[in-house]
Amino acid sequence: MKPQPAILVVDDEPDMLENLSLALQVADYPHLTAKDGLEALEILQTQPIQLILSDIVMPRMNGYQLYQQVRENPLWGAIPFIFVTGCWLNSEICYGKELGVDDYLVKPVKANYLIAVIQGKLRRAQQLAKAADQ
Amino acid sequence: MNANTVEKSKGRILIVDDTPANLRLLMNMLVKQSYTVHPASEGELALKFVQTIVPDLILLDILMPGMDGFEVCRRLRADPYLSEAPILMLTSLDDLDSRLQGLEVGVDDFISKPFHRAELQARVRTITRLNRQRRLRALELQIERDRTRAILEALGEAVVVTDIEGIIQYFNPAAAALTGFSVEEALGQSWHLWDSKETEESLYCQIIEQIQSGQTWCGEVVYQRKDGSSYDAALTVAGLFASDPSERLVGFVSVQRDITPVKQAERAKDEFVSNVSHELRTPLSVITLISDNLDTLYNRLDDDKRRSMIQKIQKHTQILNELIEDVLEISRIDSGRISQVHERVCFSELAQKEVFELLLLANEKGQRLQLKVEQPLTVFGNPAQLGLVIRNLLTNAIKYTPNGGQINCECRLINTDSELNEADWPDFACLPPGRWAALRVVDNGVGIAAEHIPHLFDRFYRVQTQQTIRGTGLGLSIAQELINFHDGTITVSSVPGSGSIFAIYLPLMA
Amino acid sequence: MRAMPSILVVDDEADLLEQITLILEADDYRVFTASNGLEALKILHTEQVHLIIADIAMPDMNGYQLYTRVRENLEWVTIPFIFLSARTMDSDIRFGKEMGVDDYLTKPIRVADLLAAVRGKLRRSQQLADSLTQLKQSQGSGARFLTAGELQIDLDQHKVTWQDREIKLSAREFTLLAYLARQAGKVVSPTELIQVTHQLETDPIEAGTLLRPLILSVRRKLDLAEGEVGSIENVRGVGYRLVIPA
Repeated sequence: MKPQPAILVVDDEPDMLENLSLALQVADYPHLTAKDGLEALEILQTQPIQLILSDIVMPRMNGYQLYQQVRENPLWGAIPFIFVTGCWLNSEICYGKELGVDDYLVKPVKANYLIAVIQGKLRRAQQLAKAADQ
Repeated sequence: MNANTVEKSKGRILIVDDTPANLRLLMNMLVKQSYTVHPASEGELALKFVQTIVPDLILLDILMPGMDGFEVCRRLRADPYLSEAPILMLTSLDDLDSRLQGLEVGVDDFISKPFHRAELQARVRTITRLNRQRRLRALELQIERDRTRAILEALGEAVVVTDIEGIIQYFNPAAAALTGFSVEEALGQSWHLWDSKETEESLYCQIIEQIQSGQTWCGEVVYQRKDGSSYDAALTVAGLFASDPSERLVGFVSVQRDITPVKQAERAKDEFVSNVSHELRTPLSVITLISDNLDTLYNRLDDDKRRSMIQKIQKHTQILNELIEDVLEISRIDSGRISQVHERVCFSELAQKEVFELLLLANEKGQRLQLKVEQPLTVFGNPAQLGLVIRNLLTNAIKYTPNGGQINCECRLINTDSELNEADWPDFACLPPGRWAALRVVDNGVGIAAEHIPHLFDRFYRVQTQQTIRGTGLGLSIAQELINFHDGTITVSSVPGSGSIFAIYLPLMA
Repeated sequence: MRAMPSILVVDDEADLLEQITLILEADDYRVFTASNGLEALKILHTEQVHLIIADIAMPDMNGYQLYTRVRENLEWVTIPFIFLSARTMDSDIRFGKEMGVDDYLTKPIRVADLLAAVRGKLRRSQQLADSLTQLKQSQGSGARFLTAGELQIDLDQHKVTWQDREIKLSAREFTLLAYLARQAGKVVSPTELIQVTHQLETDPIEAGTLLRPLILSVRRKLDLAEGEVGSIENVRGVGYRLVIPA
């Protein structure tokens, strides 16, 4: 049995990273953390990642830019990408959704909600992967 | 002998010495001091004696036939009841080895021969006094403990005491009653014994963490009884700390209170609110979309389209209104704020009034709405509420009957002895004997399938028909509640495709 | 981007259906409507649909059931699916999202929010399709040939050659050999192999039984000595592997 690929959590705020990390730990999801987009890309190059949770406002490379980079690489095209952000304005949410992001969660996020979303996206990714193999 | 002297014994002393002369000497000295003295000439006798009475002090010789003093002391100390009984060993003055050996087997002190009377008496006095005090304190403690236990046993709240690992050490009768486990079944088990599926895994970690930080933990949990049924509990957990200076955590005491009825009411309310929210959002979403569209697409739409959209807004606004009215009515009924003022009501006249008001609506659909009243009927009740119920049944009939259909309303006296067709007057045979004011609404509309009948009066229950017929889903529920308040019954029978009969029975007033 | 994507909207409230159609058509989408799940399925069978928006509380077949049916069908599994519901309790939304629905919108819905979700999901499904095609292409061009010593497997043309001798294999035999070759000499268990050759999930015993004749047939055709580079080796108790150069 191959080891389960990890979930990648990207946020420049250490408290937020810790919170999300804890929630993932309790739900038994292996995960890796990055404090900005560049670190995230490095991790993507070297580790198998099955889902990305990303903040938007981050230094050096923000969430939108990270998202574009991820989507431009066909190897990462199928990885579910979820924004977990403090940007709550309706216009911001619409912008994010229009980019095609898999989901857009506004902080603060309840742990059980986050896990439900992750479960759903992973299930979906599995379905699509299976379909692609046919 | 003076009665006082006999009872006011300063203490019980056991003397173990094989030399009769010594025994006599010691006894004399001590009896004179008002001690109760028991002689034993050898070890075996002494050991037998202590099985029945625990002495306040034991004077022990060393050299004795059979068992020597050290052996007797060893045996005495082995008995948990005697582990603290003071033992004075009678030794020779310079016998250092005996003293050392005596200390090893648990002797408390030594008295050297030859006995110095004053010294002996002083020693004995001190020791017995100290020992008595100690035993008294122990007794008081025991009484205190017993009383606490009695309180816990009598408490109506479930109390569970566990060790640091969560293993149950104490389980009171109220806890047994609440959880369904007997005391025997619970002792020694883990406090996870009554965890249910909904009990969070992290719960106990949270509890322990909070208690370790010095606080008590309070919260609500869902637990499961032995028989599998679940219950809601208000849980309080406090830590038990060691009495020694370390004050470390040694266990937990938890109290559970059954709050299932409260929680169930909460859940019912939540469900109601959720349903209402859902119902309100549906017409509201149409209204907002139409408004948005009228605004943004105004120029793209023609006059007819715009007019139709405006009418749709009106239609859905009306639906919203009706819903809010019904919700308020149900809320009033639930909280008992509904008027309980009852008066004499002419039921047949009320029926006439309601039918009259709805003739227009029926006409619009080309339906024939007729009322048949045999005789004036009087009931005791609230005319507004009864009117609402009749109106409810009539509007339902109008709604669920296609254009050109027929709706008959009939109002008559029913005697439970009378020969009535069950099909015409549903459930009349179930009425308690007597005379009843009965009203029925018969339509030849779409009818209701058998599977819906049991749920018809549930809140927000709507029969899903081919054409979505508008309704709040609360009308029949409200009707049933109101009729119940009037000590009456509301019933239904229906044949899909042929039509339905709704009937109300109210106690007839003379 | 595809010209005029088509969207299927499912809701038992006719007035709502009408308004959503107006909104989507104004944004240049083709709209199909259905007032219940069964109607929706009928449309899916006959028309090409690029996105589905569905209510949850509907008679006969609710939104959850419709979603499950759609996902079960290979033809429709890639179509993005959005719930648009008046069920707005946290628990409702969690439930829907856990199913894997692409988005969960609540009524009443603002036009801007609806359009953003629609645009986003259509863009996403296009992205997915694009990256999939790119991957397949790169795999094809980069690794058209698999070799093991003198054994050469042409993945595009489905041809196997040894030195210059062509070896004719059946489709299933080719799949087996190509898969083993792809694993670059690693041992593959019978249960894994049978999934690839027969699309069957079963226990090791049945897998072994089904594989044996297939392995025999390939070996016979390859006609290589035991342990020779390019031959299929049976690792007792574990599985099979293709012998590659050391």
